[in-house]
Amino acid sequence: MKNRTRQTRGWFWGATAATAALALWIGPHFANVFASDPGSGDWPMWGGTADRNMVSNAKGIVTKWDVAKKENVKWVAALGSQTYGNPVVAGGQVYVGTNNEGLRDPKQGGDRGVLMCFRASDGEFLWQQANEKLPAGRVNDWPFQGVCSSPLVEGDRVYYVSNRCEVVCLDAKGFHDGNNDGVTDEKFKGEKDADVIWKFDMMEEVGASPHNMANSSPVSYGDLLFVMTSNGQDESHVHIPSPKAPAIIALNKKTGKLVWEDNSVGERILHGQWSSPAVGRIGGVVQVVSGQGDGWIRGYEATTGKKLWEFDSNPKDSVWPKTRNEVISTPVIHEGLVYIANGQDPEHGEGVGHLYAIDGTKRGDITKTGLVWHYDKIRRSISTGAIYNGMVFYSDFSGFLHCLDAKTGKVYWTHDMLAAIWGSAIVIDGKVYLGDEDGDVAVLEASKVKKLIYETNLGSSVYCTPVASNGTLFIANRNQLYALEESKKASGWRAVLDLWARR
Amino acid sequence: MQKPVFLLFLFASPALSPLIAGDWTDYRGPQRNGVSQEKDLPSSWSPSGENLAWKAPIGGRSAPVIHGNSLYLMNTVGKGSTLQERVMCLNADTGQVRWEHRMNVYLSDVPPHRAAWASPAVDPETGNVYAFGVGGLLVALDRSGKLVWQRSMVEEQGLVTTHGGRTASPVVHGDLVIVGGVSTGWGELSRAAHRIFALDKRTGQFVWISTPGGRPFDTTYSPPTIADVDGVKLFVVGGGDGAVHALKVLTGEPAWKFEMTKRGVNTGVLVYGRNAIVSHSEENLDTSEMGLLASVDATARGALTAKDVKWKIPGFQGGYSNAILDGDRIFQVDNGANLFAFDFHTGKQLWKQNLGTIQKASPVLADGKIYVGTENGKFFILKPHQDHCEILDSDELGTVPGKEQILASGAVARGRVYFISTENIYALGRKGAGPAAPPYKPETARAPGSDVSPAHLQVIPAEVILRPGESIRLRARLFDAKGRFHSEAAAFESKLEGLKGAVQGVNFAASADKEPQAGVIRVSAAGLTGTARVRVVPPLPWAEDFETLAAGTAPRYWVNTQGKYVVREIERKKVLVKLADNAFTKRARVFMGPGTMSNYTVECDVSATERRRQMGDAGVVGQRYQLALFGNHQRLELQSWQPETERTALVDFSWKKDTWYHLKLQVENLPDGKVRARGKAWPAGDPEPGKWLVERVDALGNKEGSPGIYADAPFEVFFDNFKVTANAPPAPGAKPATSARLEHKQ
Repeated sequence: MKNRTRQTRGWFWGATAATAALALWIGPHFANVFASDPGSGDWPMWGGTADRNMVSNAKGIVTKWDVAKKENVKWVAALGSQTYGNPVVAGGQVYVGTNNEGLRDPKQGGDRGVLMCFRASDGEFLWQQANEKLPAGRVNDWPFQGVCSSPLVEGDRVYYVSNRCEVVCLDAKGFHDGNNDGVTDEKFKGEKDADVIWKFDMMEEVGASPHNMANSSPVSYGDLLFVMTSNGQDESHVHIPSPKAPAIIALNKKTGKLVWEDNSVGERILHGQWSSPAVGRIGGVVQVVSGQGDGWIRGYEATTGKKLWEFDSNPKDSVWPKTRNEVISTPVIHEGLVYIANGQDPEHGEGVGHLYAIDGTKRGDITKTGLVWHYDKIRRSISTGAIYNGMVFYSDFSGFLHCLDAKTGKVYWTHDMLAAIWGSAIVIDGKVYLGDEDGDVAVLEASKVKKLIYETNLGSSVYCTPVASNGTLFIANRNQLYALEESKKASGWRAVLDLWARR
Repeated sequence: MQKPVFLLFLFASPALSPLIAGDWTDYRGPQRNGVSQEKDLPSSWSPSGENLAWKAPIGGRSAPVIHGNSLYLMNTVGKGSTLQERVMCLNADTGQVRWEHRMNVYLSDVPPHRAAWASPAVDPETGNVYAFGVGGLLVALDRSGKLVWQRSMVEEQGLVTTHGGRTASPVVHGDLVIVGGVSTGWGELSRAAHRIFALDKRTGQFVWISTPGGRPFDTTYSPPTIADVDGVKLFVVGGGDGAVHALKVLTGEPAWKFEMTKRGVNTGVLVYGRNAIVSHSEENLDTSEMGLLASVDATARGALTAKDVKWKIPGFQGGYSNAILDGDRIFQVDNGANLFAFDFHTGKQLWKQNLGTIQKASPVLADGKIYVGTENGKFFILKPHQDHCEILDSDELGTVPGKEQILASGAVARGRVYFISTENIYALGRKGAGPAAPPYKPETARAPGSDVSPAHLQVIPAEVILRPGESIRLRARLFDAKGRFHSEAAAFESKLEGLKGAVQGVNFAASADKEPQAGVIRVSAAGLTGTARVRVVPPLPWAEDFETLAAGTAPRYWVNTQGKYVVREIERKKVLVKLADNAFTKRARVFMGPGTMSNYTVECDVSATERRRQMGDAGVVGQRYQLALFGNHQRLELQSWQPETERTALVDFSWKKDTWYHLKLQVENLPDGKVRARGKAWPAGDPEPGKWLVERVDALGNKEGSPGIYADAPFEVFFDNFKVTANAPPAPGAKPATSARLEHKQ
């Protein structure tokens, strides 16, 4: 596997172009009854809905574009130099976390973690929150990695976790509505600054000491907002500086006050805690499910924080850091099952991984009792799954996309992207979209038979997951956000001819 | 351009004649551009035997070097508590091991799997081998493996060693061995900065210490190059501050710098004629696109600006693998293992060849072929053409794909190409004795004419530790504006700043008072001034209750202290406070003496606060062992290398916030060669308990080291009543307790 080289890529593309063109033309559309799209046309949080399933019902989304030739590119917005904050779209606005290298405000210079907000229709920059770096430096807040959390947007409220390990609630309208809502002591109150409603400093309030980056993407249920604290090791990498800080907390989303917390992980954190929680109904109970720093997955009763079950994602004989993994992926809750893979910090490179379907109706240590299936052909993964039409689409850090049977874990096919995958495969209108570190983005049929429809390059690494909203596909590479939409000129036969011409 | 002139000049020296085989004495090769003049090298080989002179099951992550028929490399030996760094000498013709020198990593954050990062360098004149450990220990070994001298850069200079493990390989030039890294020392060198240290290759004395740059962003491992640019010998290296720095090599004076990124620079610089090729893969200063390859004017002075950039390619991800030179072309592999050829003069891309997915190693060029391995474990022999690259040979190493990685560059000498993987070392080419390199000829530097006036005064040693009453004879040397040696200064004046003692001409005698000192001897000659930094460290016992120090200061002779620790009066009593949260003060280990002290006991009162559910950690250091109270974990730990956890002895210990505890660490060199470290803690003021709480008898013990203190907390930690006493009576048969025994008698 390691001796793959990109020399084979041209050949591979040539051989598949004909079938790809055919597939594009026929355009098979399967009715998608399992999509987690909220139905509004928005994609208002990481995973679209609280169950985090990377599936969208959006229709009429481009399957072919070329940013170099500006084909099907509606607009492009400049971001910082590194972009790990997956875009979300709600209320006609796009939000993306990036760094401050695409400096928007000279008064707020230097390295910062930045959440940017753009108008979805034309890419107009609306406002930003540019957070200073934490004083302790890389151990808590790695240089130039920006804001890595993906916001949750509910009506006029935007919730995210800043690089300063704060849960932040912002006014979606910013100062454009002429009001300074919530707290009024913002340092910057210009029209293009963020209007803060409240902030919850997880370092101050619950003692979190984030390892390298606080990145959790919030999710809500009722009045409760759930985030991971990213509490982890210090720079010695053998020592947890704040073992009394929780792994997961619930806040009242109106007041920003702590409601419950859990620290079952204690001192057993292997490295960091960079997963995000999911919420869904499992066996009649609304649960928050969270992947934690000891490689265990834990399920809680959402309203009370009562721990219901825990599941060890590592074989008992595994050894950190060679074969024992942490959990960075976000769990997906689908039809009463939890789907999640384990993996490691990309800095640690490639290695063995594990993907599970877990029955969260069981209680206690459910490592044995809750195991529905285990797939060990996946490599280390930091991606989140898409469960669609009885199939699981799951990518790994070694560059493979796996298509499995959702009920049995039996593999239908794998696809090699030939470069590391940081983002996730997403199913949009029956097609799988997936980007990689080389900047390639592939579009495949979401079917039991592998069909590559299209592949293109975005010019620099794609660390994010593409998302669709109201007819537009949004993809970020390292320093640009692209809004892609079928332009009138390049449709129908023209697209097919273009594709043929590429051979 | 100036190339033909330059080549003539370069090749006029017989030692560099393209027709004669040469040694490969440091990471970047004889001309420090990755190129060898060796001929008749293989165009194909196989791990099973074709064109394989020999192979040995010795792996590593740093490049081998070759001098005569000896091959030197650095790797690790042992596992867990027996893991050490090792310098090895192999017969370059057979792969037979001749000798090895093992050294401990101590008091470092470097994890075990990143040890032995740098390549050794050989002095062609003496045959001495210089190796720089990830823990900051610089050793000089002779060709038989005997230790000539060593310097503990962490204890003496506050060198920063990190989890990343990045350690730059040393280079030898003339009488100097030169190393670099981020440090936070004492006095004027307290500010954290990437510094370059030049030492006398025979004695280890500091000749110059240069701080050319600003705030460091990272620790880096850019391999230095030394090149003659318009008659000025420049030492050129990428810095932790995101700039490339050129210094006059004999003096350390900054010549120019090119600030290009907001992160540290790990690639080496390729100097050719009047231009320097620089690269990185991080944030640029002028665009949100990451990465750069550029050609800059190496004859400029001061901070280079846009007008000094001849060409540039923003977006080029050249962050680890170094560029090599082939006539008017350069080759460089980007982070994604794509090998590019560019025109040296214009930056025009000539071709691109993919080799894999991840790249750290640098290519080498010899006999018209490029030899390079990838992190995925594939080794390539390539033939560069003007418009494309031909793959002559490629071999996958090992039986399990990806298990045998190639992280290090190759070396070419004795008619063979040598390279090392994580599992094996390979010698490609003919079997048997290779052609010998010509005998060493010292570089004949053109002395400046008598009409040239001196422009720089160098005082040697640049820094030294003395005992009270000890004398030292300084050297004062003059250099011209081009950095060439001018003359030994004949008449000069010296004065003392912050030092007590007698100074007369070249002679300084430290005051015999048993009190510590830190200051400089400022020497003036020919209208120029130079300084020698001096610390006077008294013999044991030491006792410091901070009462005589002014509030707001810290002991001046302590390393890594200024701005991190400060004396404060609390309830009419002075204590030392580790300052609260900022980038450089969360975790700070202080050293007070030379790294050659042994058989002593360190004691101190400590107290920690609690905030944000976190209580600080506080400890003392002795002979490279650390005894620390961990607040959050309510433990007492005895460590010598924290990330290598098998070396740690620990015991649960309940202690309260804002309460003084007394720590006691005793380290003894035992008659059987082992080292015993043991520690205890108890509430300050209570009688000392009889029992030691933690103990470790270390078979591979640290036999010497400086006393120190340690704190790790986002908040303040307090120290008082620090004392160090010689162990008494000394363990029978062991080395007698030393009191600040100095490593270099002046």
